[in-house]
Amino acid sequence: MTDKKGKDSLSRNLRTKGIVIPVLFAVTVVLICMLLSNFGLGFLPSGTHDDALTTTATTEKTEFDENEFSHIVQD
Amino acid sequence: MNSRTLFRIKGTVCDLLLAVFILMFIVTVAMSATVGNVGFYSHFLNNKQITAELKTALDEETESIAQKTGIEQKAFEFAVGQNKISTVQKEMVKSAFSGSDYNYSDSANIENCYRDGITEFYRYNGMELDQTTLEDAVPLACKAFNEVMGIKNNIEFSQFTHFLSKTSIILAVASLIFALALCFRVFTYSGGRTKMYSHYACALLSAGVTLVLLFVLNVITGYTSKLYLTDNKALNIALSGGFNAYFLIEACFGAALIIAGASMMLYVGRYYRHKAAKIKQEQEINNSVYVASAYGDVTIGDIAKGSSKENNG
Repeated sequence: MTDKKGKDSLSRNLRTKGIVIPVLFAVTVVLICMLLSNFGLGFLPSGTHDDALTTTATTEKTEFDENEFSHIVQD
Repeated sequence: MNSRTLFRIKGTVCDLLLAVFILMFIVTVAMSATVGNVGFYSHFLNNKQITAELKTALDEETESIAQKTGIEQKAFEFAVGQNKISTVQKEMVKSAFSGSDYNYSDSANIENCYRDGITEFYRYNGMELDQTTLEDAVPLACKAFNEVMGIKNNIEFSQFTHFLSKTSIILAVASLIFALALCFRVFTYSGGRTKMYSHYACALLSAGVTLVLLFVLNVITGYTSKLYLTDNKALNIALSGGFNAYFLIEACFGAALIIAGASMMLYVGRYYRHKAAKIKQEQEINNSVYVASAYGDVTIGDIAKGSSKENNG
């Protein structure tokens, strides 16, 4: 009788640790991930940010031309 | 709540914490090696869909340049067409990860391509080309090409990739340290006995099932395909391909963890069943072997019972 009880207890213990806890843990983590993705993760870029200074296209820079300035002064 | 229940709850909390750190470790290690790595995305940039997307965007840009400068739109298409785009599109990821300006004229000689291509188109069709107009059109076409191949949210994206490549390594190392500390805690908690493997197995199974479930969820919802990381549609296709592969790699790790955890759990079950059978067999032998004593012939089992009663009394 005690032997059977011990075997049952062992099987129950292994089932809890091997199936019930992992499945519950996985479902909880996945639900948390879904919630986080719905609220919007801070580190994920939105892709809509338009920053002209950081465009990959070559930018035309307006620089001070010293020679041009000296011509104007001489004229 | 008795002390035994409290002990079991403490053990389960320890297992779950270990599962969290194992999960974190695998997620971050795989992250830095795959989606945090520039080279990884190049495998997903050889896609005809990406080329088609880029060509459409470039044609739209060159059409407006053609209207402005008077140069035939087909000349632009002839100069930089589908073949050129498909050879250059691998570099897109470099521009996205560099976080700064990227000029394709430096690497892919785009400026010369436009100049020679447009000239050749006009010569082949027997039309006259005004050199001044050509010189006006070429820089505009180059700029358009850079814009089509690049992304505008470079700062955001470079921060994101920095997180994926660098921060993930720090998190992986931290998770590994915590996981090892918890492994040691479980070892001391179980007194180094075989039952500690059931705790490790529980943690491995929890982490493994989570990784597989995340992959399944991604397949069902198509989460990565909806990620809008850059404003470049073509690059987003490659990025989502990369993220899909990342989830698949994680699922493989998850499957490995599940196999390891299940094997450990089976070993623990077999060990304790074998141990119980051995104890039962010993008891049966003890109860069947008679020895002479002052009270007559008694079994070893009776002697053992008597000594335990004396000890308890």
